[in-house]
Amino acid sequence: MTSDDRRPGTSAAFDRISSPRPGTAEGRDGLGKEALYSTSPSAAPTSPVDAWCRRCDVPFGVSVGLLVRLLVPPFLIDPVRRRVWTRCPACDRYAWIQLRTGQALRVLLDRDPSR
Amino acid sequence: MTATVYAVANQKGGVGKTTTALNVAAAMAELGAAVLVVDLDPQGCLTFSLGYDPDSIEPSLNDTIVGRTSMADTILQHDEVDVVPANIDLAGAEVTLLSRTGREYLLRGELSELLDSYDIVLIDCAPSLGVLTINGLTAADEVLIPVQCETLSHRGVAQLLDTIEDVKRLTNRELVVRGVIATMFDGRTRHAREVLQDLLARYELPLVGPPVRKSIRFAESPNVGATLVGAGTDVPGASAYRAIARELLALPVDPDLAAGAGWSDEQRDAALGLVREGER
Repeated sequence: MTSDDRRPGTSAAFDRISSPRPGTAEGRDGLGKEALYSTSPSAAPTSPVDAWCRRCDVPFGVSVGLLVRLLVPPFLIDPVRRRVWTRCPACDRYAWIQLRTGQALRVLLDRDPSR
Repeated sequence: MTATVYAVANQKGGVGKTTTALNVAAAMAELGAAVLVVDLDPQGCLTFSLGYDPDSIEPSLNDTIVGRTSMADTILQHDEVDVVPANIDLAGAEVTLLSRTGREYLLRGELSELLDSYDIVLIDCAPSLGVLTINGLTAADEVLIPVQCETLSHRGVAQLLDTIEDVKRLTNRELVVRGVIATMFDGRTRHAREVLQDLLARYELPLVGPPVRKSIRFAESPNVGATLVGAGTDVPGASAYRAIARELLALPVDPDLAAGAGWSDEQRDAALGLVREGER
């Protein structure tokens, strides 16, 4: 900043201090400060499926990759209660894993204009 | 009656957030306003300063965050103001909230049930940027920024304004920066005057009330469990907080009060490097 374009009353001594950025999402790291906001469009996506192991009582998110691994035989599916009998990734024992739609999938479904 | 909610925020620590929140609240209560202060800092300094032992208080704000009790049930009625207390358990709330969708709105939701019971709600934010501070800014109508007039505090204001831009974009479009409150001000040093002048000019922020002069009485007052204003201590800083309270409540500020704060109009303009209209 030159002395000509300096705002009146400001001092060159404080020019090292970064100015606040304008209120746009541009250039914001979704895994940085933006991750504090659950409603931020650029925040890191959460899991498409939420799961809960009835044996170890641990809830966890299930990515597509993990879902494929859960469905490696042997496994059982109970479509009525929406649960799978498979090896729990948390306790590594066979157990009933309760499944429900995760936030990422809910957001995706909510955005579907056909719904 | 719907309360105006002020967040007293600055990501930098030790700038006088708690002292400002407490004394402004006490001065407003002195003027007849119904005031609630919310301690949003896990260190529980505000709670302690009002004479409570944060470690033995139950329920506290953390119980509200984790869904064990409503905020109304946590309120303590102090002689000066009502307070929602906090203690170190609130540090765990950050973790509890991190996995929750809509975590930014929890405080706003809880406060909404209390707004009809108060004129003013003051939220004493934590000296860090986390989910709790975002909750405070999301729940607020206006932000008050206490600033100790030093270079690092100046930088803290820049960072806070950046955060406020994020909050306005994502969770609270109506949020307004009410202005800066100059705390622990020592007008004898050129550095303090330069920082304040630059801050107000660079970010086009208004100065709320007269600068609050440094006094050891502020450091001592948590020992007695009362604010300087509430205890009737006669120091310039207490008068400054009374003037700030009147300004926030849109009441006229008596020149004697400003003079009692150590800041006549002439002194204020000289310290801020302002030129009065008639002198141009």
